[in-house]
Amino acid sequence: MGATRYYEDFSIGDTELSRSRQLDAADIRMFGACSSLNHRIHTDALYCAKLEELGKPVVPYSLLLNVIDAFFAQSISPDGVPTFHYGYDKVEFRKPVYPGDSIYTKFEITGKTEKNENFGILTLNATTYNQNGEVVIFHVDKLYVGRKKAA
Amino acid sequence: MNSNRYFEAFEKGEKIRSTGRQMTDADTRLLMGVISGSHPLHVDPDYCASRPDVGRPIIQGSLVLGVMDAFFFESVCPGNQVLALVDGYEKIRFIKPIYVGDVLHAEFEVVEKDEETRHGLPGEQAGKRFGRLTCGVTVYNQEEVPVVYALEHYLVEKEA
Repeated sequence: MGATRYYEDFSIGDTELSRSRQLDAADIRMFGACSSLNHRIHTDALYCAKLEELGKPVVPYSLLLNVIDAFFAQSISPDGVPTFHYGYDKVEFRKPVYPGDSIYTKFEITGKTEKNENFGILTLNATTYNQNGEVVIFHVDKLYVGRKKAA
Repeated sequence: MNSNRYFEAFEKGEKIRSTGRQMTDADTRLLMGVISGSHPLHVDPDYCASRPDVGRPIIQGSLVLGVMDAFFFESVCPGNQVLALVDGYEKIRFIKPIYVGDVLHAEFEVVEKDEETRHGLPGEQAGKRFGRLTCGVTVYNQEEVPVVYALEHYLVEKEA
């Protein structure tokens, strides 16, 4: 953690546990400002109290995917190793996350594909837990990661 | 336009186009606060200029997932009567860079309707209360170039 890593520095089967982050109502408001996602299920406590599925406002899953992105991006690329987000395969939302909850993610490298002389694609299984150790999101992430230049 | 559409009102093959939204540097900076960090791709013009494949700062791709949710609630499932929840994705692809200043809109195509839902929601009635829509969502920039594609599931409340 903390060191700059290139595509070649990862091996299939490698695992990494992220730091954790607490989510707050303020995060929902900031995310609402930068995405325009201000739906009642994220902001209206009186409305949510009447819904047995929610009970209270939930943190948007799309916000959580951004937090999880940062968990991994910061661990590979503190000095700006070229990366791009290729995309996701399968994203499963398992449990709601509420303001006050904390999340952390376990990453496992499951695949490596050389794309061209500059980039390789890493495939990762990402399992995100709350403070009680319950799985809240499982997804498969795909990232372009820069390759070491031939000496 | 009917502003409150229940699950039954959607038809397979139906296409719905959203309104537009410009992505700004303020959006990039706010997201940095939400996620506690960033990459030079989003905030360092000199770094971006040094990379011929980038050129200038780009918007965080995953931020667009939130913008897509906002488009969905605004254009596909508007109104406050019908409860709708995002229920995961089969696939998401970031096709082209999105630059600061780009104006995005999305087209939602209903590709599947499932009466049965499997989800992790609490509540005894939850399984019967919703149907599941699967939409192919294509996000375009102001030049009508596709920048993001997602195959996404939504739980939408049934009327009956």
